[in-house]
Amino acid sequence: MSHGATAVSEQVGSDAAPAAQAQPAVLELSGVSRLHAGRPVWAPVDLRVAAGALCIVTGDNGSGKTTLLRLAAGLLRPSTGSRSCTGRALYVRAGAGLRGVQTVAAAVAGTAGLVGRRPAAAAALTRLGLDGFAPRRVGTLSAGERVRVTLAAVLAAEPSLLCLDEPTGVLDERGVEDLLAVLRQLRAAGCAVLLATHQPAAVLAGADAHLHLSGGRVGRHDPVSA
Amino acid sequence: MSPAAQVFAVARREFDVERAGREVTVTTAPYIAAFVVLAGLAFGPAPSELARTAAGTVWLAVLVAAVTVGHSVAGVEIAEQSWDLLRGSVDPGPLFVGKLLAVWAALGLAWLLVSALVAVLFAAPPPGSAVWAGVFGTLGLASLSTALGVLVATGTRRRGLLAALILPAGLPALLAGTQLTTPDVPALPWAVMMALYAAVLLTVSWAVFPALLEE
Repeated sequence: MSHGATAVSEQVGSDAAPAAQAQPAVLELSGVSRLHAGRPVWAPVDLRVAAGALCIVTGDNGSGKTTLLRLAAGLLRPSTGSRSCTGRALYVRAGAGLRGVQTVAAAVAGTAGLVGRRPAAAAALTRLGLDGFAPRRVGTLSAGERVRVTLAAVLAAEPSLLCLDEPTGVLDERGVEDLLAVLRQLRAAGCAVLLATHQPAAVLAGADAHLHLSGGRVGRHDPVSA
Repeated sequence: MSPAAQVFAVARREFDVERAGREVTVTTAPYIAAFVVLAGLAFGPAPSELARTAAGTVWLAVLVAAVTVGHSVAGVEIAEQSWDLLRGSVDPGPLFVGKLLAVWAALGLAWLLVSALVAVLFAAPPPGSAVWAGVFGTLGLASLSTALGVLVATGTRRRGLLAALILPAGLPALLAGTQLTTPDVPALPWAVMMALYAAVLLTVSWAVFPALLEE
């Protein structure tokens, strides 16, 4: 393999390793890699993510974080290996995902409605304290507010896997706390989360695993020490 | 969630977005209205000339509308970063049909608007066979716009490519639609051609759509 890359085998669960194995796997990547301009972005990855687990993905710009998340979400086909995912996987980039011309209430309801959960939209807004935003247009919200509203739509949709790409870049301290609170709710409902970020310190405390991408290598770090 | 329910959800979302933003309406309606007025000025003012060019003007305007509507299928979604969430939420088949219904409705309304404008400004009311053209011609063009709208928007291709792809591929709709909208032209052969054109484009677009989504 070029880049001198090495494979990594990762088992991500919401508890200690033995318990993680007992959890049903939401996502399984087996020997997965993705070619870009004829070269692998990173070495083949074996990754098993259990229901309710939080896996942080870090790495320099261009290291392949977005590629890994989009592949995990099923938006990209792996060049080698196989991917299996139980339930629905959603990918959200930079906290955006709703149409700007719609009101928050309509956009969240419309997104939840795509998976047959339109009635859950109002409750999701209430759970996140976003009732006051309901009549506002998504396009008029600040970047941080838009992240929270998009997360409300995700919360209502109840995916089995959520791939969040750089959601913390536009968030202030309170926004990150809100994000973590939403992630706790999602994980409690059995949703596994892959979160790519350049600011791991803010989110690592509650993580089950930390993957670091660098120079074509996928390495594992201790979640609490990075 | 059944495929039919997913189709309904996608189509409902499309209509909700359009109702909220009027994006397709404000980009398409003034454009084709101006097109008809300018065509009238170019071909007129002799009533006989206007009557002779009326049918072609209708379908040329609808063909142009298919390009502008095609940009709304995925281009705007990608610009607002809502495309990935939509794709993850809905299977490819229902996504195609839901988007197709929205595009078909937009082109159908464009055809109605253009036909009404031409009937008034050109003093050339369309024959009954024009309805056949309106239904199947806009369906074929909607299939084309939906598939090519995704193809162009999801790659690194230039936006102008959409017009370069749709206009030649829409030529059968232009020819058959013009003939079906012209009085005293035998309708059956052109109606059959238009129906076949719509069926082929619908089938091909449906078949290739999942591949267009893959990156």
